[in-house]
This record gives sequence, structure tokens and C-alpha cells, in this order.
Amino acid sequence: MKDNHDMDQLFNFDHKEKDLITSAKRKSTWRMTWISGLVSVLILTLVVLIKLQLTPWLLDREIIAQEFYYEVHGANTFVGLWDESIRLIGSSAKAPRYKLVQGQPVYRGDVTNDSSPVEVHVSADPLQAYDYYGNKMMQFIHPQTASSDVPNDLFGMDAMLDNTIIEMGVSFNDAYSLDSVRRMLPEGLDLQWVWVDAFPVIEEEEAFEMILTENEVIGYPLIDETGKEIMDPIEHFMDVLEIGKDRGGRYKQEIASIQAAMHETRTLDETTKNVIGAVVIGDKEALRNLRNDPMVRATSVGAIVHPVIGKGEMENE
Amino acid sequence: MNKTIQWVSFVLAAVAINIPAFLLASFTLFGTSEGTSIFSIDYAVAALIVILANGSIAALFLAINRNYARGFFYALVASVAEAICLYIVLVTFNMNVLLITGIVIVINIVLLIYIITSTKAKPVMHKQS
Repeated sequence: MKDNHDMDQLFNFDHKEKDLITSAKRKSTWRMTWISGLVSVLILTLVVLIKLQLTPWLLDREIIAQEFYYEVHGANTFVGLWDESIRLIGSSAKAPRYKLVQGQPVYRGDVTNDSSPVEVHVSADPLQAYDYYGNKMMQFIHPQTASSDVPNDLFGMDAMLDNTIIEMGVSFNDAYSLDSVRRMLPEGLDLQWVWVDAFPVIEEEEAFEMILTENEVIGYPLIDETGKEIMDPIEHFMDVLEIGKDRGGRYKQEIASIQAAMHETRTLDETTKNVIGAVVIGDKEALRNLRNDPMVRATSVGAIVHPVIGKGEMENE
Repeated sequence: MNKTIQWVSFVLAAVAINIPAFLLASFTLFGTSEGTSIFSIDYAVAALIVILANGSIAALFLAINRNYARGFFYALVASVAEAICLYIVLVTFNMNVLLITGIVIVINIVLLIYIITSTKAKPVMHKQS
């Protein structure tokens, strides 16, 4: 009977039936592999999308931390616009660091999102420091330093050209108020940055037997990154410290301790005596007037520029 | 498919979709004045964007919970497509891409309804007395 024949064929495991099972197994394995591969690709796509969206946020946090560091440290040093490079692996951001000398920027190397602010400088003479780009770095001496061996570049600038505009780092013999410093400065000099005493009070003077470079001193600018005068520089500095102690990233603690040092004096305004140095800009003639100033203890040249366009006078018709 | 892999893919899809969804929702609140009630139209629009964007996530969750393998696969593909569209909208703010994203979100809502109707919830086990 036909039914019996069909039943016999169903249970007759000859060579043809084995091929069927092998074929079914192969198809099942292929389907599982294909689906697993596709799911892996989809999961990988999700991971890539998450990485691309999280990276800018993480990078911005590091950028902000670097900006807060250079807002507080670095005499007359500013950070330019950041150039971000977002990639799957190895994202980075870079910005130029520059000084402003009478509105003219002077390039001083780059800052990256993860660069260390510790700068190595070259100096055969301890009173003359240079960075690896060949730029002269300003040096500052704390008023409590006992050493009489201090830089006096004010007396060595006569060899420079007459129209040279010089950035001069000035260290005072004591702490003065911003008001006093402004009154003391001779005509023709621009006050662009001041060094404030953020050191803890200590008894021994030996701790200050060191010369600080321009990247190690703490202070606030009197001009912004475009060269425009800041209306209330002290309030701006205190705002930076307040925000920086939360958003300063790896520098949070340092900024918090600077803020604590600033608040040790009850009032903080232009009459508070905590200014121990400054960065002034001017030509040789204007700077010469500082030579006999009793407030000035040490002077150190920084950036030097030769004006591209002179300040000519309009001819009257 | 392994349950662990399914839940890992669910979490990844949820993060990948909700980051741009919340950012886009916050853009709609850009012009909202401070002190506006949370029950205002502005907040309703923002909430709607987030809810609609999570349609594929809900579909994924249901498919995993109800052991619906085919539904999980469809929902995963839909989630990845939506995540890519949302990311491109965030980066380019292109109206064409925004339109495509809207279409993808509508498809995901339909998929969610399909998964809900074609599968049953897990039966609740009652203790025998």
C-alpha cells in the first residue's frame, strides 16, 4: 500500500536522508552565524555612536580645565581658540598660547587638552631663562627672598633698537595695592598683568630662595585676550577662582587653595596690599624711568616686538 | 540569543538614543523663560520628543522580556537606525535628515505596537496552596 511505502521511506535512513540532516544543520549554522555577525555589527555601531557623542563632552571638560589654569597662571599669557579633533581613537584639542605686547600677539607654543603646564626651560645663567622655542622667559623674585642675586634686565636693554616694544616682568620689594602700583608707574608704560601673593604665610625665608618663571606665578590680567581693558580685574579674577574650583578639572584643588589664600585678607579690592609684581609694556625710554624706583627690586625682559605699523600722524589738509 | 547580550544591547541602544534625544529636547527649551511651569507647552514638546524617541527602546525591552527573538532583532535594527539618524540631525541640523528621522520614529512606534499585539506578557506564576 502507498501509505506503508511512505512510512517505510520516512523511517529509512539511507544516504539521501543523511544529506538532508547535514544540509539542515549547515543552514542552521549559517543562519546563526549571519544573525550573530549582524547583531555584533549593530552593537558595534551603537558603541561607536556613543563614543562620538561622549568624546566632545569629555574633551570640553579638559579644555575648560586648561583654560582655568592659564587664566590664573602665566604672566601676560593668553590661550587662543581651541581646534578640536574628534576621532574614534585619539581625540585631541589644541590651542595657541600667546602674549600680548601692545595688542600684538606673540606666539609662545601650543596647549593641548592633556598637556602638562610644567615647562622646562633652558638657562646656563640662572638669571636668564629661555624656552625651547628660543623665547626669553620673564623671571620673578618674591619680596621675602633674601638673595641679592636678582635679574636686572632694565640695565641691559640699552642695546635694543629704539622703536622696540618690550615686555618687562617687574618684581617689587614689598606687597603693594593695585592703586599704588598704578600711581607708581611712569608715563608711557602699560600695566597688563599683576602678580599676587598667593603663597601661604611662612616664617622661614629660605623657602623663597628660588626664582619663579613667568609660567609659575599666579595673578590676574588687566586686559582680556583681545587686548581690551578689563573694567574690574579683581572681581573678574575672583569670579574665575570661584568657578575654577568646581570646573578646573585636575587643577580644582590648586585653584581652591589660591582662592583660600586670597580670602585671608578681609577685603579684596584695589587697596588690598597683595601685589608683589607686575608685567609692564613699553619702549626703552618709558622703561628707563623705572631704573631709580625704590619699589622695583628686579626686572626681567620677556617678549620683544618691533611694531609692524607705526603710529603715524594724519597730515592736515 | 544569549539574554546577557540582549540586555547589553538594550542598554547601549538606550544610551545611544537618549543622549541626542535629550539634547534635541533641551534645544526646544532654549527660548523658554525662567520660571515657566513644567506643565507648559514648551515642556510638553520636549517630553514628547523624548517619549517618541524611546519607542524603539520600549519595543526592544518588550521583545527581550517576552522572549520574542525575531522582534528583538527587528527592534535592534530599528534602534540603531534611529540612533544614527538622531546623531546626524544633531551634527548637521539638516531638515531632510530630520524628516527621515521622523519617519524612522513612526516606523518604530508601529513596530512597538506590533510587538505588543503579537506577543503575550509572561504568565504570572501563582503559588499553589
